[in-house]
Amino acid sequence: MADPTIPINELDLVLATLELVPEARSAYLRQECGDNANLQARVLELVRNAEASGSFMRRPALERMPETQMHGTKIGDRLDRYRLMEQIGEGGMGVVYVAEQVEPVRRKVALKVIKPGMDSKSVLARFDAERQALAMMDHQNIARILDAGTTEHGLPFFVMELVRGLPITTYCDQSCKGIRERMALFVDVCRAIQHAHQKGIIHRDIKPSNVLVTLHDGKPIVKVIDFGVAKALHQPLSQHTIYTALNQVIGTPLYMSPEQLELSGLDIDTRTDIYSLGVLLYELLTGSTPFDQEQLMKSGFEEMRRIIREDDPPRPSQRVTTLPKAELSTAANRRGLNDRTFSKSVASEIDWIVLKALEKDRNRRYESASGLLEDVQRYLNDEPVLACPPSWKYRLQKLARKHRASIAIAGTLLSGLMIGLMLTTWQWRRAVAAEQGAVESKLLLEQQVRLADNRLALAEQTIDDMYIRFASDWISHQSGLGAVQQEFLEKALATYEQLAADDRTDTEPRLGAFVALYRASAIHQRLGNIEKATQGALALIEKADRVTQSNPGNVDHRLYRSRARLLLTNIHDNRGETVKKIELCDAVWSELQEIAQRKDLTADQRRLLATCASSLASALTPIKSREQLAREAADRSVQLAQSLVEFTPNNFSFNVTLANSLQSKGTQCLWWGKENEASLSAYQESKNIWRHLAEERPDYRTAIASQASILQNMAIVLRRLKRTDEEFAARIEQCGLLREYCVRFPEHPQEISLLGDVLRKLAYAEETRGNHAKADEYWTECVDRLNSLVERFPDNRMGRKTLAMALNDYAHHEKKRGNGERARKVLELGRERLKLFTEKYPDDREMYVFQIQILTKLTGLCLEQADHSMAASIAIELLNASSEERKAAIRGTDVIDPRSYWGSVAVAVRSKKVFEHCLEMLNADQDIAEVDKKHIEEEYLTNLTACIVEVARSAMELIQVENAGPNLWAKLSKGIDTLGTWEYLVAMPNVENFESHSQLEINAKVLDALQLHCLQVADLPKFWPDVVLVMASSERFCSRPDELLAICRRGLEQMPDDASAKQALAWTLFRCGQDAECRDLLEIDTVNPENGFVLSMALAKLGDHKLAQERFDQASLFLETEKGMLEARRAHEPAPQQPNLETLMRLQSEASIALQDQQP
Amino acid sequence: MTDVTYLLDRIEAGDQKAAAELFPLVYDELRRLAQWKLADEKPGNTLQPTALVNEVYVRMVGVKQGLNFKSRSGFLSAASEAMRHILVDAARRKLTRKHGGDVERMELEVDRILVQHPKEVLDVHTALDALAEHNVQCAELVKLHYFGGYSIAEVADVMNISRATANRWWIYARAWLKTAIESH
Repeated sequence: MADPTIPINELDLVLATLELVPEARSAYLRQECGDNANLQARVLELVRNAEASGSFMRRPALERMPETQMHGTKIGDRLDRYRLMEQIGEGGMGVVYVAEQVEPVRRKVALKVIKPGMDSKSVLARFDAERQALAMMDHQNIARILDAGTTEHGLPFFVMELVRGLPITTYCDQSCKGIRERMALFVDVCRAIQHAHQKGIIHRDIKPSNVLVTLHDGKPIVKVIDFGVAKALHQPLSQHTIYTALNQVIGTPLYMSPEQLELSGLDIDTRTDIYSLGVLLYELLTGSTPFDQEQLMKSGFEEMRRIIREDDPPRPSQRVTTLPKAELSTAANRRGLNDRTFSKSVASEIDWIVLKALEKDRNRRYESASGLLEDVQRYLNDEPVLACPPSWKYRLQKLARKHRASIAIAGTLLSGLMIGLMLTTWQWRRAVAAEQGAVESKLLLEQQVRLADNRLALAEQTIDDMYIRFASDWISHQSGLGAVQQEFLEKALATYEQLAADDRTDTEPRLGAFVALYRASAIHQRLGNIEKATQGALALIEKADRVTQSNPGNVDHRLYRSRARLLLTNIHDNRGETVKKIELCDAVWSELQEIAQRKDLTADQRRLLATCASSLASALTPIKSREQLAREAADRSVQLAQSLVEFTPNNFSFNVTLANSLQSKGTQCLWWGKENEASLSAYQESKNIWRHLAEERPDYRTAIASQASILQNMAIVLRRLKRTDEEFAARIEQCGLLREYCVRFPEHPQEISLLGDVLRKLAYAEETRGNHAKADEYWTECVDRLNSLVERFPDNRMGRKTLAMALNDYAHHEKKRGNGERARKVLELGRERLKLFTEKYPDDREMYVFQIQILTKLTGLCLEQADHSMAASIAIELLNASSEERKAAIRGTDVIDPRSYWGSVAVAVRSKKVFEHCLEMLNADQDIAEVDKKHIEEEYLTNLTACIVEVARSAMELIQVENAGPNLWAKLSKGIDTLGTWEYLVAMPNVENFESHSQLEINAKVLDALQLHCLQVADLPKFWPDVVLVMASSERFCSRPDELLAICRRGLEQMPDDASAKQALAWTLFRCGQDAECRDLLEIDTVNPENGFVLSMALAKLGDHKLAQERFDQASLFLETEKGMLEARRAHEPAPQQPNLETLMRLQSEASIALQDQQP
Repeated sequence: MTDVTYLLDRIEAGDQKAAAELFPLVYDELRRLAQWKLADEKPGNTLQPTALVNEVYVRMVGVKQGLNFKSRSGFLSAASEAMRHILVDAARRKLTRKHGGDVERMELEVDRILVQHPKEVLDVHTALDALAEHNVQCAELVKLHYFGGYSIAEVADVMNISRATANRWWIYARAWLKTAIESH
């Protein structure tokens, strides 16, 4: 039986019960709770709920992403049956180790494990593809795959046969293999590669170090290793990787095909391996690579590319004869030859074979590894080879191709011309059609119509090319449009609209008309003609519906219908019409899925499909109920785009599609917040592609802008992952890109404002790191750029906003660093700018928000600097700003909570002048009901009081800081003019807190002020009793009680029902010794604890000790309750209005002493 | 204007009122930051309470050395409370929307905060006050963990209790709240 006097803790009971097996619980609780059946039941219920809490509160109110842990592998780790012994290689995606297999047999193997952080879905898929590819291959010249698995952290790995051998060139040299032997070994290499190609695997990185020779029973066996790595990595070639290669003297570029060196660099097929095989053969034969390693390394990147793409290497036989003497001898010795025989050993047939493999144009190379192999074998068998010297015609063609002119600028000029041409063609075609009956020769007519149609098609094609090349860039881009762009778009719009109208009444409308209609809608949307854009899109959908009904197999029209729907989702999204948006999205998805089923899609249709899927994914990502759909759409889009690019690696628009798809995949993962690594890797991939695209086409600004915006988002992810240094690096990179962009395209305000924004963030970061000097540089650049931006492009909203934010933050930091003056200058600039903005754009609510922020800060700063008059005048501005914001909000039909509105004003308001102004405005405000006005006014008054007390406090703080107590008088005396009587009144009693010696003087001053105030205004302000109460709460108060009493009586006359007025009088009565009158006043209402203490003191003085004690106890109880309530209220009120507990407690102790003293 | 660091110093010195004064400042900053964050970036941004609170902390307090335990806890507590208000606001709006609220209305950016289960948020919010009357510390723990987004381990550090205790309290508090909500 538990001791009933000990309070039983519910928490302990519940937790103890939870630890028991269910059967033992009842007995335990009976023992602990005794007869308390309620408690037993209660505990059991809690236990039940603890055990069956299900998903309740499982996740925080706002979901937080799990910290991604890095679970890398290291030497000594055991993965499954393998122990990692030594790292032998590392690529972008994985690490290769020598590992020891423990069972069933003890042997050494090569183990490749994916790197932590690379386990995004797409990388995993490719890793898996590589593993499967290797598993598919079964060839004695290819290292075998033995096993696969995943680490305990879910990273996949696979195990391969460990090949310990020498690079083929080294092996041949060391064992002095002759030309024929070398060629025989090379045949084995070709066999391995041919086998791989048959399995659809491209090696991409054939070089001696990947072609090893081991001895098996004394017989050399070729083993090709590192298969499919480059392909699986899918790493576009970049300057960086090449330099890395060079620096590590891997010599990779020496074996790279010209197409591998293309910067868009994804155009790789099996013929790339043929080229590399050619290089390998060249080296095996001559002892050196076609291009001199040193020379390549000396030349810059561009020069290197040029050499490999354009220069013809010396024929092998030529190379051998031109070798320097020493080298020639060495090479000859290594082939078991002397100088002379070596020179002759390389026959012209061998030259042809090698050169055919090394053709710049892959169409002219051997079509397959077996083709090469067979030719080599023909040579070895002394049969005529198929390879032959290249013709002159071919050489001429090659020359012409070398001089591709850049049409970037010409293109823009041409576009106008093309539009003109198009229009005439179009008119002509119509004219011809109209004259149909009049023309005699039907043949001629048909011919003309056909010709016209051809010309129309050509013109259509041309303008579409132009559009895709330039205008689509402007349309997809959020930047403002320059005059030229606007003009182009308008012209294009006119053209497209005409084209769209030129739709013969056939049941099958021309696709061109569809495209035109779509483009016209997109342009309309871009130009802000939302209604027209909507109409266009709807018309398109309707037309497509008709076509689809009569011919469901027409994919193009359906794709354009999806595009039109997606365009509409955009419009709905902007209007917040989510339901409509979702409906459209669902329709698009089912359409896309249907289309994707088809096997006969053209590349362009697949591109459109990918684009639609990607837009759909972006549209759906924020919609919770469609998360799965959004994911599928994004993955589908990436997958489609990837296969397109793989198939036609050099196609610019396919690469754009892939970059876009990956980008929206990255954004999707970012948005959901849980797949940070996936987001990063998709972004990284996308960014790489954009970079190549930008290099390929310097005028394609989307490529740069996209990189910048990717970096911006990557920075967010990195911040989430707390990878601060990388985040910082990403911002720096973004900053660099945007700076470059702004130099190249100075007319785009959007990017300037983005640059401003990133500079702001960098400044922030530097501030955090404590590099204030560096931060200053960023701040200055940021403010300068944005300042000139808003001057040059006053209509750019983003620029205004960013500037406002930057000034706000800059001031914040300057102030934090103690540079009050600089902070003030910055804020002054902000004040001036925002005044301008709000005047010019009265409907932009956000500007008011910023204005309010800046003015609030400025008011605070002025107050801190004791510049009260300035603070007051800024506060009025602040008030106006708040009021304007309210108006703008009402215009925007957004209902704004009046409390927050007045609240935000009141925080900054600390002067009577402002207060009056504020009341005036409140009363003039017709949107607020009279009832509400009263309520607001009250609230406002409360805020005001609190603020004024704060003014007083900050005045004191200031003095404390300056350690100049005596100056207070001067300041406060001056204050009476600037602060106004009211503030002064409140401020004065506070002085006592630290300057008790001048107590009397202070009180006298207060009284003077009070009287002055009473004289000045006929009506006492409603809040004056508070002042009196503050003074009367302390015994030390009152040098001239009679005068104060007179004021109090007058106050109560004016406000007979006001509790505070009554209280003030009662307290003053008590302080002046008129206890009986005080008692009479207070006995009416004893609920107020403050009054209770005063009353008990008065009663004690009057001799009624019993009642005095009673009142005292009652008041004490109230006080305790009050304390408890405050605690409770603190938990759920933003800022509970605090009863003056200090005063109460002081009164309590004063009363308890008084009661003891008066004790008979 | 009252400076946060000043308030924190006062909390450090044991001033009870300072903690209450801190709240509106943190609240404003949080709201503003949340708003900026949402306005700032392209679509693709979810708010993280901890990240927000931490950022506010850095913005308002800076990486001030030597800030003692008490004032840091004070700040995090105030910030979690502020976060609670923001979330409850968002949850309320979300629920009103669902019940045929005015969808056409222009959305404040802060409304884009994704509260996954608004009903639960509001229920917990209401019941939490009752829990606070019953057991202040458990309520504080719920506030930091559920609304502030801190892990139980982090909360234990902030509240200066062992992780085991924090876990036990959490089990109890959740059962308590569930009971309270269900009986309502």
